[in-house]
This record gives sequence, C-alpha cells and structure tokens, in this order.
Amino acid sequence: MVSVRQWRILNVSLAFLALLLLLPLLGIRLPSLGQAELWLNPDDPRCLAQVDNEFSGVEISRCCLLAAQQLSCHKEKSLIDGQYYDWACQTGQQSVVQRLNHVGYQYCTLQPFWGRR
Amino acid sequence: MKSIFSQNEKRVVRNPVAKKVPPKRWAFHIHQATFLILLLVVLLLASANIAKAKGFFIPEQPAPLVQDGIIAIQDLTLEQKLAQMVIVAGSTWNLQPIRNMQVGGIHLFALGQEELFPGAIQQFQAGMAIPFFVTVDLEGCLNPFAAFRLFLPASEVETVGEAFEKGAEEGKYLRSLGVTINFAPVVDLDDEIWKCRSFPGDASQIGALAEAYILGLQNEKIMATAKHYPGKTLVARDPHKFLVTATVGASDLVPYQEVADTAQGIMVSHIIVDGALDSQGLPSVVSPGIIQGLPEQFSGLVITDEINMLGLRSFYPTLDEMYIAVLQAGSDIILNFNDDPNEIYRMIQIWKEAVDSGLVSEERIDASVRKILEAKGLQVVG
Repeated sequence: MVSVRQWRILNVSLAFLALLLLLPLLGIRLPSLGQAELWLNPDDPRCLAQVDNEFSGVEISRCCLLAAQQLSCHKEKSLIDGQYYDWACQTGQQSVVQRLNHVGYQYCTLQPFWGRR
Repeated sequence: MKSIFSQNEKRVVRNPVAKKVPPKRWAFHIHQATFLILLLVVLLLASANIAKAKGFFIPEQPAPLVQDGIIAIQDLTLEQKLAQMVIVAGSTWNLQPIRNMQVGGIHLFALGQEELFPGAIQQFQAGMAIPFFVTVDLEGCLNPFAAFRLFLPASEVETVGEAFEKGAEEGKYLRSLGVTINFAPVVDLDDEIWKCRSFPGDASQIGALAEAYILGLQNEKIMATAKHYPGKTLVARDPHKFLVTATVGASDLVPYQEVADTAQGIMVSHIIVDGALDSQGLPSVVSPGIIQGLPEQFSGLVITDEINMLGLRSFYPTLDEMYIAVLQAGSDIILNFNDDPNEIYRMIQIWKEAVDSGLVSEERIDASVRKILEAKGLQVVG
C-alpha cells in the first residue's frame, strides 16, 4: 500500500520530469552531462591527421568535421610525439586517420554535425 | 429540563452518527488522481519530444510545379527558395524532414558498402519535383569510398593528362552512384598538414592541373568545386585556436583565376584574411568583399564551407546572427550539416524573417536560386 507521503514524492518527481520534457519543446536547451564532463576536464582537445606514417596537428573543429565524415571511430591508444591519443577515426585501411585524445573525441561528439554512430 | 449542552454544542452533535470520510482518505484519492494526470502528461510530453527529434513537426512544403523541365521562379514560395540554398547532411534517419523541407541538396559521408550510396540517394530523390544536389568530398587522399575503392591522391598527379584522367575516372564513378557535385579539387598551395590533398608544383602548375581535373570531372556531368577560397587552409597552425587568420598572397589566388571560367563551383572558407585580399576582420565566408572579390569570369555557384565549424560559429554570440550574416554575404549555397533537422528548419525561418524585414533582398535570393535550379538542369522562367 503506497502511503500519502510516497504519493507526494512520486508526484513531485513526475512534475519535475514533465518540466524537463517541456523545456526542449519550448526551444530551451539544457547543458548535457557530456558538456559538463568536458568542462571539468583540464586536458585540451587534441587531433592529429595521420597519412601513412606522418602526423600533423589539425585545428580541432576542422578535425571533428573530418572525423564525423569517416566511416567509424574506434578506441586505439597511441603515443605520438610524447602525447597520448585514444581514438582513431578512418574509413579504410589505407585512408587518412584522424587521431583524437579522449577530450578531443568527447568534444567532437558534441558538435552539431557529429550524427549517430 | 434544561439541556446540558449549549446551542453551539447542540449544532456540533446534531447528527453524531453521520458517515464522514476521514480527511486522510480524500488526500489519498487526490494524490492518486494527480499521479495519473502527471503520468499522462509525462507520456504525452515524451511522445512530443520523440516526434520533434524525428522532425515530425516540420511541415511539408507544397510540391513545386515543374513541367517538361521548366519551372517558374515565382511559383516557389520564399521558404522553398531559401531551402534550395541549403545542403544538409544526408542522414537517412532524417529522410522525411529533409524531403519535407525540400532543401537544395544532401551531403554523403563515408559508408561501409558501395550499394548503400545509390540506395540512400534513391530514397532521397524518389518523386522529388526538384532533385537534390548529391555531394561528396572525393579528393583522392580524403575519400568517402575508401572502405571499398581507392583513388589517386592529388599530390601524386604529375601531368595535365593524368589530372584529366583522374577527374574523368572519379566523375564516371560518382555519376554511376547518383552523385552530382564533388567538393574537389583542393587548389590551396602548400599542403603542410596532410601533404596529399593538393596538386604538386607552384601556383601556376597547381592551377593547370586543377583545371584539367575539373574538365575531366565535369565532362562526366559532375560539378567540380575549387576550394578553399581564398586559400591558406592547408597550412599548419595552432590547433587550439578556433578563429584562423592568414595573410593571402597574390600566388594563392592564381589557381582560382586559372579555373574561374571552368569550375562550376567555388567553396569559400572561414579564414580571416589580409594581404592580397582583405576580409576586414571577418571570416571570409561572411565577408561580402571576399565573395564579391571572386574572379570576374567566375559565373558558377559560390558555396560556403560547413557553417557549424568553430572558425565561423565562435565569431558570433548567437547562431541567429551567424545565419543572417552568412546569407547577407552573398553565397549561393550554404552547407549546414547539423544533424537536427529542426535546427535546419529554424535557420530557414530566420532567413525568411530576414527577407521579410528587408535585411536581405528577395532579388538576391532569386538570383542564387535561379543559378541553383539551372545547375540542376531545369529551365527557369520568370
């Protein structure tokens, strides 16, 4: 048997949930957990373009667009020029690889063009 | 005999055996009813959110009247005309809202199997009175088909003949899939980052190779797009900075002058430039001076680089201001790969308000839409 107090708690929770669901319909966006995690992480987003065995730094926003256009991204830890990179995004075995550190990958997944993977 | 009860006490005890529901039971019923109502509200709001995410609230535009390949521009609503100026990411999960909005084109990212490309393209194109542009970034080094087909990187092309053959081979392949525009060739000098995206040689040699490539590609009915105007996008710089600045020299513009009367498209970048061209502190894509500074003999489509990149987005406090600035600057086609179709629809509505309020003239819109429809093979009247 649900007590009156328990009903109150349920109803307040449902009212709060209704409010959270109403906000996006009114065009109000709340920061996501991913954005909060990114903001708290002190590391910088980093990206390298790898062509054969050569690596070059790429501005992160351009890198994210190129990575979003690749077939897939997978976890692959690599140490390049003394820094760790955690993700590799590419289309084929012989194609350009966008290498991202964890913060860089998280940053990219928050971009509007990232899409579903 | 006097009653031991006062008048007040008599009122209270008038009906001592009447049945009354205890206050606690009423509260219980109210909470139950409230719970059911709130549960219903939450379910409705959740359904509305799902419908919105899928673009169900984006209205379908009326079918444009196209007869024997002829279309009258005045038969298109302002919203339809503005939508023609947008190329979006061709995600099949956004198929219906993209078709409903009748945007100008779809851009395809890498897929794992060759047959997925014509499959997706057919889904989008089926029954459309005005066909979509279908665009890809096939440069050779960057290649959305790399999972099953490789192409020669531009950096390995040595002669004009090879450049033409590369264009013809890629054009034939793209046409077989249903693609209509290739965002290539890259004609920037000094590819310090990838070292494979640009043709080899000095400015003049790059211009000649690019022109040959364009001829080969367009011979196969695929529109070429020289990029990224006004140059300097392949030069290594501080990867932490979003706003990119560069000094453009006269040599950076040489390839664009070489291809201006051949290329059917030129893509403008977000770089803030000075030197041979000055964007006045603005990203090039929103600088009217840069857009108008394109070579005189160029009569093709001016296409923006993707507008959600921070090189442009971080220049403006709000998206609305950015959308209006991009439209005001004068490009014919705007690339917006935002995966949320509601945001694409919102951008079109913002543009519509800008035209209605006089910030952007409808004549400017009509001029771009005319070029777009003609590039799609339609005859435009009116």
